[in-house]
Amino acid sequence: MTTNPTAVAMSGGVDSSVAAALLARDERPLVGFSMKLIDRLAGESDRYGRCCSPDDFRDARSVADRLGFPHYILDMEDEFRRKVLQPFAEDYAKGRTPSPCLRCNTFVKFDSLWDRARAVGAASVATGHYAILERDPRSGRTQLHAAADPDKDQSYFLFDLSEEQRQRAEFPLGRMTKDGVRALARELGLATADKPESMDLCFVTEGESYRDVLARSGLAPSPAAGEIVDTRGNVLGSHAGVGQFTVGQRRGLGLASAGKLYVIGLDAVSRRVVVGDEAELYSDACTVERVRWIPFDRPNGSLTATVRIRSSHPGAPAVVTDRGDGSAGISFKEPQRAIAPGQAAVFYDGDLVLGGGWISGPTASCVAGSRRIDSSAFLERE
Amino acid sequence: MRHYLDHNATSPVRDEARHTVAAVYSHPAGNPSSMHAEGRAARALLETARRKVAILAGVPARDVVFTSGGSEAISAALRGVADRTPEGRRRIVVSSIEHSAVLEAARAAGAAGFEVVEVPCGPSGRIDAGAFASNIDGRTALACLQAANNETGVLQPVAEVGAVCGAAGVPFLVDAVQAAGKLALDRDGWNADLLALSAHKLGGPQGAGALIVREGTKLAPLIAGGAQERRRRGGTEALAQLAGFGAAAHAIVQELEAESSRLLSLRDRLESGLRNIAPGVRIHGESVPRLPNTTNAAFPGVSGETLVIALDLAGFAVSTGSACASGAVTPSHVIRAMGFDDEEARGAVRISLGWSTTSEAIDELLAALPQLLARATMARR
Repeated sequence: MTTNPTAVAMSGGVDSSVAAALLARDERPLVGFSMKLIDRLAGESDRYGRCCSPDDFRDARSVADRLGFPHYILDMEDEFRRKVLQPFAEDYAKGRTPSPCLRCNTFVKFDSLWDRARAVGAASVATGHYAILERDPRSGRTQLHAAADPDKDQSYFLFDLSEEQRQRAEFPLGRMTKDGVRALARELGLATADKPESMDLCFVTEGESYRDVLARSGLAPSPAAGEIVDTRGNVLGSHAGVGQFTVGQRRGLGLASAGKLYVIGLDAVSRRVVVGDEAELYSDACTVERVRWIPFDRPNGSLTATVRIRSSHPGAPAVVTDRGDGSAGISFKEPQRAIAPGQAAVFYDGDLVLGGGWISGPTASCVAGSRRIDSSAFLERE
Repeated sequence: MRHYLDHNATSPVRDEARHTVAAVYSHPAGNPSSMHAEGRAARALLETARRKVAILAGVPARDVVFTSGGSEAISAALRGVADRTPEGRRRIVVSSIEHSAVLEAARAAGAAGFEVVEVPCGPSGRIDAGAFASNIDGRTALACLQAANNETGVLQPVAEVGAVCGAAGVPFLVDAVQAAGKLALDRDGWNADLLALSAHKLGGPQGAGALIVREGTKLAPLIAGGAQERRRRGGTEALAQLAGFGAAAHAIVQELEAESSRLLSLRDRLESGLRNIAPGVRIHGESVPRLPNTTNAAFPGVSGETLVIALDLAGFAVSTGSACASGAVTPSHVIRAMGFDDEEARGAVRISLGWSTTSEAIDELLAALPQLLARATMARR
């Protein structure tokens, strides 16, 4: 191969298929990769997650064949387990709401996959993400923007890519709408044109829960019984382990008065599940750690931004103050419901992603509850 | 221009086989079991193929039972013997480096109540005959050992194990799928009761194979049906493929010695080139006798998967030891069984030569490798 090809990460879904087709249309040399993330968990039966079943690999392969570039399946179970599944389990055990899709982007697709792709000569990695990357000629930095289609925008899930990672990433779908993508897939006769969207954890099979997956992987939280308390410390009941709860959970508390109570905090150290009423779900401030800034190294002083505290959050005006130690304080103009530790807070100036950070564990200023956050609230959707 | 260097996976169909297959399809041939002229013509073609395969295997033609391939032959042998095993013989002995066709068939027998012993392998890649033989006694239902390993090409001590099996009255299955066409088969010298062969590994069509069954071996048919194959295997024979198998076998018998030494000199050229390029290269099985066509090499710090993909993109077809159902590379069970760790087992690349391999292919591979290796090594830093 004379020029270095672009590696296309292909899930077998319509988005990555069309991303590949757009690049192929520009006569770019391509090499396709599908990541096998979970086969070992499949055991003897035909149990596969939604994103990497043999059917998906077959679909990805048929798209690559049709577009005329080579396609390979990579065994990335070890990396996925280490970089996504284990932290996912640890987050639950520590009472945090995990962010597997974000971690998968930062540590698997644009790190492990990139390593393998570049080892065979690839110059960049393209995915079917809906987001826009643009090089800023003045700063020389690669800026991240929300996608043109606000319903499909996935920039939230990409904030934690480093400058180096953004430089070698390509998102061909950033300026397209989902309808446009489907129409193009049909026009090109791609086998994946009418595949349903994956809406849930990709590594969980229909009919089971993430807890089943963790148990099968030997990552189930060890039981650590503790108390259920209210915000004044009154003991209302007991539980088998904080890992069984999600902040914002309303059902399954086993309390007589559970109807109006929510899980508003989880403290793995004291093994306490804190419950409270709806008003206690709101907070106007929180701290984020491991902050990443995108258009600049660090802002001068505080800045105002629209901050999204989970992927389904539309964003709220806030003042973000970088503390210089890798953390930042966020003060919202209005109290926000459901600020969940473990989730990312991502800062926007209009469409431009300024940066983001990880909402830290329960602190006085940030013991946040939430309404029941079902998995679709924190997952990336294809 | 691509170079195909993966003959242990499948060998391109030889001209002789291709012409024969085409000839069968272009003349009206009947069912070999039919009485009429067309049926008799088909029968004649089938028996010609049988004689040619029998000569390759060094056995009487009546011992050749045609199958759909090597895996069917192996399953037919394991299940067929297990079904007819005498009272008190409930142990199946295999080596840990057998092909998955053997290992999985043995494990299935294990699930059905047989005791399965997988004899371990040392780092040389050659099974210790004494260790294997120590499991052979009056309670053994079947012993199975490959003539040559598909990943490393290492020759296994089939004659020694066969002698012990003979003395103990234990049926002995030799998986000769990789050995056939690359070295002379010696069914009687190995004392094998059953010998599994595959057509496509030696330049015949895919979908054809044979189980060589010594007269008197107690064997239930895997596929029930008509009286085909002396009632050893039901179902109408795949005439064209089997005729192609016979043609490929015949071609090989004519040239076996000359071709083996040609392949050996190509392989020597390849391996000395590899050592020049990468002094740290490990060639698995190099201390013991191997097939003349197989090189299994591990380059320090480079995964086999990376190298296979990089070579594919550069126009060379080679393989890693094994792939899972999805097509992804998994650590080789053979290299692991030889005592190496997962990383080593993921590092191995198999380069296997055959009738279509030219010295130009070897030279071009050696010319392309340094840059590919350098890039792959750099990416890991």
